Amino acid sequence: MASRCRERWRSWGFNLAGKIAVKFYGLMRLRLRTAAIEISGDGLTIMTLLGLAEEKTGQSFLDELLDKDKGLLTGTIILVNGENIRLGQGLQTRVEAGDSVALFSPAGGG
Amino acid sequence: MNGWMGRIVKFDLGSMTQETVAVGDAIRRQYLGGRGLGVKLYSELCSSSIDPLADDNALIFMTGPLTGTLMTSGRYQVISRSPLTGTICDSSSGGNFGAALKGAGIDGLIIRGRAAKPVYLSVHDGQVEAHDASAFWGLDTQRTQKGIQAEAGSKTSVACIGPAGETRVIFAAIMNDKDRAAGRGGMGAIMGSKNLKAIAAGGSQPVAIADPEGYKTMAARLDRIVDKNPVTGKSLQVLGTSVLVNIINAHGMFPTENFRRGVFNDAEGTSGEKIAETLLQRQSSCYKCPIGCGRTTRTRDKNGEGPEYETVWAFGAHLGISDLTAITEANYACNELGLDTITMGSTLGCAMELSETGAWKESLRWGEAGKLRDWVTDTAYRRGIGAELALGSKRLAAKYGRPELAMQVKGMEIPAYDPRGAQGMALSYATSNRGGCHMRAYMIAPEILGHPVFLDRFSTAGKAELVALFQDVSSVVDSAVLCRFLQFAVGISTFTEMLRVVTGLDFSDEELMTIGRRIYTLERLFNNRAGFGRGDDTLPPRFFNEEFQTGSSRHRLVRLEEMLDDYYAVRGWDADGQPLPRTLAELGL
Amino acid sequence: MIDLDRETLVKMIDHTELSAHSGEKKIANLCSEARSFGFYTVCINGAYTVYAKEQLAGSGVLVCTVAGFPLGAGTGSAKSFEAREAVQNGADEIDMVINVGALRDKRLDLVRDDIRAVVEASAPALVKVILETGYLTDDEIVTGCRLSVEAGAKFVKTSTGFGAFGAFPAHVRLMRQTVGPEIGVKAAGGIRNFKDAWRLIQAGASRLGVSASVGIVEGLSFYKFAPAAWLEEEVPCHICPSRFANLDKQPKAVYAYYKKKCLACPHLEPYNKFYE
Repeated sequence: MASRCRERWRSWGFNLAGKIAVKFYGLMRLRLRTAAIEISGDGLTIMTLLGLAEEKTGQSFLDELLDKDKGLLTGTIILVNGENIRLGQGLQTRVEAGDSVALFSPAGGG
Repeated sequence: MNGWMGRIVKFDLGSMTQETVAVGDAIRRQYLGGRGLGVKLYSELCSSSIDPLADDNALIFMTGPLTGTLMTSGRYQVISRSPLTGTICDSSSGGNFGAALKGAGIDGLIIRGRAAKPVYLSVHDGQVEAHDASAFWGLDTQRTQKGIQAEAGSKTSVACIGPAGETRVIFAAIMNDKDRAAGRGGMGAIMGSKNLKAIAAGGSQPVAIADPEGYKTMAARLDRIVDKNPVTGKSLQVLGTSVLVNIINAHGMFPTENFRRGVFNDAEGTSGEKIAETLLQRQSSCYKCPIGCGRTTRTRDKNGEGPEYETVWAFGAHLGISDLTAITEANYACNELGLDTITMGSTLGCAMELSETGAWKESLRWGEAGKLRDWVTDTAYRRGIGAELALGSKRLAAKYGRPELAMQVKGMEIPAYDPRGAQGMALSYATSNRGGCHMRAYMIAPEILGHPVFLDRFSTAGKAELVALFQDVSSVVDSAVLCRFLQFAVGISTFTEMLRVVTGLDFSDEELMTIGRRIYTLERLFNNRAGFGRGDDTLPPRFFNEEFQTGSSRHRLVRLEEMLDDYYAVRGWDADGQPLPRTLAELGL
Repeated sequence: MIDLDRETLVKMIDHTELSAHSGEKKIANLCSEARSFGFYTVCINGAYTVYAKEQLAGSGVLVCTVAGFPLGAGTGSAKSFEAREAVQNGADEIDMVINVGALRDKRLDLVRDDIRAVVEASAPALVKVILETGYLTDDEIVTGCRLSVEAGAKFVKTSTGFGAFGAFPAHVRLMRQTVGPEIGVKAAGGIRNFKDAWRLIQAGASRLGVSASVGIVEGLSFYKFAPAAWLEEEVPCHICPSRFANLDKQPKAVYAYYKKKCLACPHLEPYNKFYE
């Protein structure tokens, strides 16, 4: 999906500065008091990315998204460029520089 | 009798007389209460062609065997034929009123006829009394409730209409316990047409419990389950339903500007997170509810309840408005005047598009937050532009020659989830018995939220079966009567056990599913007789013809046909959506 | 439709709290939940046997205490002492950890005697033997099962929950095949929701060691009338131990064993996108 875009940008000599955008929503946002951060990297798995995000924000929030065994909680939504990772390779989904990752802890409504 | 009070009162406002309605054990077991029993009784009293605003239409307030017990049990259902859609309609509201009706000694109230002058009814100890309400006629719902409580007792719970119900706006709401709303379908207009300003209920009659030990254990269990569940235990309490704004927007299906786009640039500014940071004073809860999704909020000059997700959308993205204060104050206005926020907002969006295309000479523009409150108020009083807006989107768009610009199904406006982003939701809207409603089968749960399982929202596979399942389970919850948010934490077996422990009857899961299916099919029968068929199980053309160009639901169209035949097959209905004889026989209809 | 009722499911559950840092409050919660839901046992560390027994008085819920947990690398006599003391304190079941190192060394008598000592010390309480599948090859799992049965254990159990692997249907299937229908097979570790539990039950598990018990029981409620869409077969790699093999957590030989299995697996072709 984003890789063709990236190739085109690269061929034009643009460097996307190797950043992945990580956006926090819901309870995490209230807890972290941050809406978004950027992580340097390319080809990281979501699992790795989450670990780096915890380091960067200096706070632990993985328990909002994952269970004790580091699996996705029912209701956790993680989107890479708008696509749910559950339709990809789950926490092993790889993200590239320029990708946007959105994290939602389980929520509901009507 | 355990669970039920065993008393339903029919009150005729014309003759000011009351009588009890006998409901046999078998009927109670087959329909439970609330929505199910209400629909059953209504269909026996009124034909499918009755004029909803005529004197002889019946308006039914109904609770269920679980009302007043266990948890989330203050809710009640209002049943009648909707003046907005012409379908059978049940409208659900929270707060305390349901529990108050049972405390007053009744399971439900059937109201017919028309009072010569404005009255309110009070219910105590199983008896209904009519009182002069001329002093309250014209007052908004907040003043009405306070005023009637001053007369009827401060502990009474009051369900009333505001000016919108009095002028019979076809999407007028019934408000109770300050700001809880039986919003959809125009039940408030029916009350208005009967000159019935309010109903006050109160009393301390207890609900008899069949198995007190089992009840205690069940109550402890429910407490644990609801607390442990991240949605009911945390998210709804802290962020309310508007937490969905960012979620649905991120999925590219947050209907913007009358469903022309799926991404709203200013979604963040109207989100649950934003409300929590700016307007929220504290959360509020209904009767016996630990979930506490209510939002007590204040803007600079006003305070009140909400806004909820649907409202934040209807007055927000749907109109291109990002001013949260304006949205919230429009919400307060709807609460005070007694108007359904979804239909109100959706009609405004339709009006804006009609205006933009030149079909309507009025000038309503996207993003005009400043006029929001005036439009709402004018609608409640049917004055000026409000007289047109009070038609609702379907009639308004038809009047100005662009019926396809009304985002409605069977006359009821579609809520805050674009069906191009979730095929199951499309089927849900199309086959909902009361029109464009997201609650009959909340497919957003599996398709977006991943609860209880995650499904591919763009696939049509298996959606028919699931929609039918959800519709049936929801019918049961609406008949028990409990809060649907419990469904995030518990499944059908727990509802079965709750019913067993309270009523002492040996319900089984299978029986409950059959009850749900029976109720849904009975509603369908009513609608069929009212003239609704396959042709009405559809969506506005926009969803079949226009694709979003951006966002993660781009380049998608609704594929309803693929699912509809499947759905009819699952339901045991024929190709026109009419229940087959064998289906009716199975359900005892 | 799933043909399992709530009563049967709750009686298959050992409601577990084995974290080192869990205090009395956590154990009290555990017992209160077990009482409300009717779980079969609570599974706890030795320090809390007495307390749990008190908390559960009159509830019908049994107490299961662990011994030689989580490493299993102690002596037979040390494990027996733990087991005997736990039973004297009121434990009804003992979950012991097998001597994994000895098993891998093929010191079969040592392993068998180790288990037998605990079985004798625990009587009349029954003993479950935790194999810790994360450190074993299939052959070693089979051997471990055989030795456990010979030594008089009544259950074999997949994992401690603190090792490299949790419970996998493949391992449960293998264990069930090995011990036959009379001996219990307990699946433990990483069982997060009803679907996980159901897969393991179908693979032959007769007991589940879980801490997410509440969610699992409610999950049954959701799945009871589950349409086909919800019961879709999991992608095989998602529930295969090979995918979770981890060089950091496992002996090199074991890691290599699982990875080699993967290369010879017929599912590799269609699902190999997981190994890009």
